[in-house]
Amino acid sequence: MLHSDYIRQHQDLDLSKIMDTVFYAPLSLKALKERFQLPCDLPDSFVPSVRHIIEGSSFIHFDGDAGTLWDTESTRAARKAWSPKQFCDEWSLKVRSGVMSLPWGGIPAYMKMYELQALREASRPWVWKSSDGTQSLTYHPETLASEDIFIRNKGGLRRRQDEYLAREMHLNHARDVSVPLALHLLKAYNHSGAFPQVY
Amino acid sequence: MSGQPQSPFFRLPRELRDIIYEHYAHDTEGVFYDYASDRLRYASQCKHQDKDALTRSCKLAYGEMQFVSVRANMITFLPGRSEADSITYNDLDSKAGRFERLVQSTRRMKMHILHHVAKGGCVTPTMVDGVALRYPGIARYYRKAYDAIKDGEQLHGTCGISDYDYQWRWQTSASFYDALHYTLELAASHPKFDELAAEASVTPHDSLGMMPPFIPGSQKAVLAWNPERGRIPTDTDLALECCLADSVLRNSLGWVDWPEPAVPVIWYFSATAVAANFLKRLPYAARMRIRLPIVIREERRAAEYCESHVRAIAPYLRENPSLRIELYVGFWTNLVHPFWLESLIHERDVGLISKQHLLRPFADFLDELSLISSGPSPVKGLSVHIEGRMDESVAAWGMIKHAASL
Repeated sequence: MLHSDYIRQHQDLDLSKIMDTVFYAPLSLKALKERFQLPCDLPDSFVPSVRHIIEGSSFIHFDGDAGTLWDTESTRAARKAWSPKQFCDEWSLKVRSGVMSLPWGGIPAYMKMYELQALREASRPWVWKSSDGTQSLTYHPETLASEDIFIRNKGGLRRRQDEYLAREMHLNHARDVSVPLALHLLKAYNHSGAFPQVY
Repeated sequence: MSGQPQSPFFRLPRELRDIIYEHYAHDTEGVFYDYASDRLRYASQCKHQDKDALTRSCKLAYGEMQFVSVRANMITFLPGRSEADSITYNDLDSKAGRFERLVQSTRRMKMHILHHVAKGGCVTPTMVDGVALRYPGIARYYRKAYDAIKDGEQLHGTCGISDYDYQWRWQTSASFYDALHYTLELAASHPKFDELAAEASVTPHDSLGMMPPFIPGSQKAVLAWNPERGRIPTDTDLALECCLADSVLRNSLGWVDWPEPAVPVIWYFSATAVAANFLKRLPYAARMRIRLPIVIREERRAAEYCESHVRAIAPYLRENPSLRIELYVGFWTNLVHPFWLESLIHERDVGLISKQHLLRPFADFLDELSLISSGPSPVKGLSVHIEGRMDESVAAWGMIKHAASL
């Protein structure tokens, strides 16, 4: 799709006239802050490179199941009458506001890998409490990357997060609320500490 | 004629001795370059001692065996752990960390200077078009970013990126940095440029009065600083540190700026940069005699826009068409936004990562590969392998495909 005439003409769009689905503000207000606001923001080399990897005709190899090519014709046909806003919404929904699961160990594993010992809040312990008050955790910067946190994170958290995400998605679909909004809320919950973590 | 005619071995022709040396130095597992000791090593200490015995016992053989292990073995490069490998400067004794600090501080300073010179009329639309043409991979974003930098609100405003640059910076790339640098080079011909750049160096770069990361009057040194990508920095590259401002700058409310680099952490040079540095120091004749593949395993996120480091090995692939390089990368090793550096608050999002944090580095990496493999002098002999065995890697690849399909 990236090289279709329809997408190409998005490059000339007036971003101040497209309302961002996630932040409810014109895209132009985040033009610097956000690199890939629309599919046409990806480098021109992106789609052909991915296509060649899937076809096995590239010097770049995905050492796993690269899968099959997408059906450009049907994708294009389904979006024939779409407005730029609809393309933007789809991109926001599928990519911009999307999240993925980290490999085993999550962020603590990375902190351990890079031997992260102190952060901005290093001068004081940081206390987290679950919304129902039944769980709490005090982070001491000096133990942030300790074996203790690494082991405690094993297993459970991923399951809890995925369950929560699935529940939110289900509820929001039922309420006819947009999925990007649900994901945005999920992030907000996480940042506010309202969502109980596993510890 | 060799210098030891009493030895039957040294009475053999040199060509035959070379074959024997190569046979002796070869190991099926190849050799590994060790960044810390700056030496090639065999897989085990025992093997290393065996293979090193001849060079230790005979001075003549030592001389003749120079670079034999390079041409007789597959060489593997790993990321270089940069810890206590330099002098300590502003609490950092990691050369890679110090380099990263300079890269990000100069990028911030150049954006700040660009705002001032663009506002002052030093940048023409033709210049912007010229930069976009020169950096096609970043062209569309560059145009948007240039307009926003010139306007200043998204840069210096109340919610501008200057306030949270430590989070935002990972959206930038080597191409963006280069485009920024090139714009300033073009704008420098304007008669008011020097005056406006000097003004930038004494003007706060956020709404709360935070001063720029370099001391006033250092703008010329900052503007001239643009080391090649994918190299181990020299002392000359790091000399700009003497122009860095106080490492704990405060704004008008007394808040401290996020230090550069963000946190105490182990920094790495990319395996590609380590390999390029090794090849650079190898004599031309020795480089041209490499016959077995060079293997580069990127197992860590490295400093200084590591997605762009393939640029550094391209000259050696062009120089020696027989050279083969296998580059191993991964979504979760080197091609991931370093989210663990962002903030402690992310400790709460333990299991999830934004898709954009994978998309940006991967898209830039593909673009860099596309640049060196196309054009008038495309590189041959490079094969890139993306790790795809982990479930999460398959999911990441699925996301990349999905983004490409939209």
